[in-house]
Amino acid sequence: MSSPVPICRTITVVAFRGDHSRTFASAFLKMLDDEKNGRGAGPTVLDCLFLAGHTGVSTDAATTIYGFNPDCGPIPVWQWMDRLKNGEPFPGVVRDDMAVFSAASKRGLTVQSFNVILPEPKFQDFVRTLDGERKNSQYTYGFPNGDGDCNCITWLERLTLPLLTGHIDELLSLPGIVAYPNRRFGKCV
Amino acid sequence: MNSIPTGASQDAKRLSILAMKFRGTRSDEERREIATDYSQTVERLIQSGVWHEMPAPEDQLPDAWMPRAFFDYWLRPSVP
Repeated sequence: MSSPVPICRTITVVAFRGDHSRTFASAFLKMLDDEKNGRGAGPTVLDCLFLAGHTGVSTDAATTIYGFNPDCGPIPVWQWMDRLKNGEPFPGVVRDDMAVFSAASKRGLTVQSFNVILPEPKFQDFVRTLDGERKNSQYTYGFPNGDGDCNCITWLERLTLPLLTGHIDELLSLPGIVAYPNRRFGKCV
Repeated sequence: MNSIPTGASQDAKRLSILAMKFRGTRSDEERREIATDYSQTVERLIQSGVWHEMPAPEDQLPDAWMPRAFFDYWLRPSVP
């Protein structure tokens, strides 16, 4: 007797590329500089995400989109951004970033998404992992090749979410294979 | 294999690679060499006249290691 085929469930990955235009870059750098020199408020966390871009994951058709972020506490933006650039890790925190993606779209940034379809048991495994992360992430946030475990992109892999289709051309056409032949995830010597 | 692209059109990508290399070492000497390379790459990009997108934060070095020219160029609200 064959066992019943489980139903499929969908996980949606949502992402947008940051705004690197001169108009925004200039305003952003000025805000950072003003904050650093005590002349004014620094950029908001939302401004930082507009500049950097962001990705998140949804298990409810993008009603909620969970993203991985650094928990920087009360540290000024210019300072934690500088420390990330230096390779330092920050505790990771998972938030519902639906509002971030909505604001990015309203701002004119192209928000893209794709679906990862899994059988029910594997979907539930993913939901459990995501729930655990939402309560208390076990990963530190860091810029690529720094001391952190992952950023918002590579966090998706920590959730064991399959991102590749399985086409060899897709793997080999990843620009990072040539540009970044070595990549480190986590503090080690 | 030299993984760092050398063509002018690849310089923006080069900044990204250099920033990763910078975070990958704790040696001040290596970091100085990387910062020098980064500064020269920024100069080439400025001179190219076609540098229209500021590198993402993860493609930048910490402020103290960034070339002044980077900020002079990107703090201007319009193309110089």
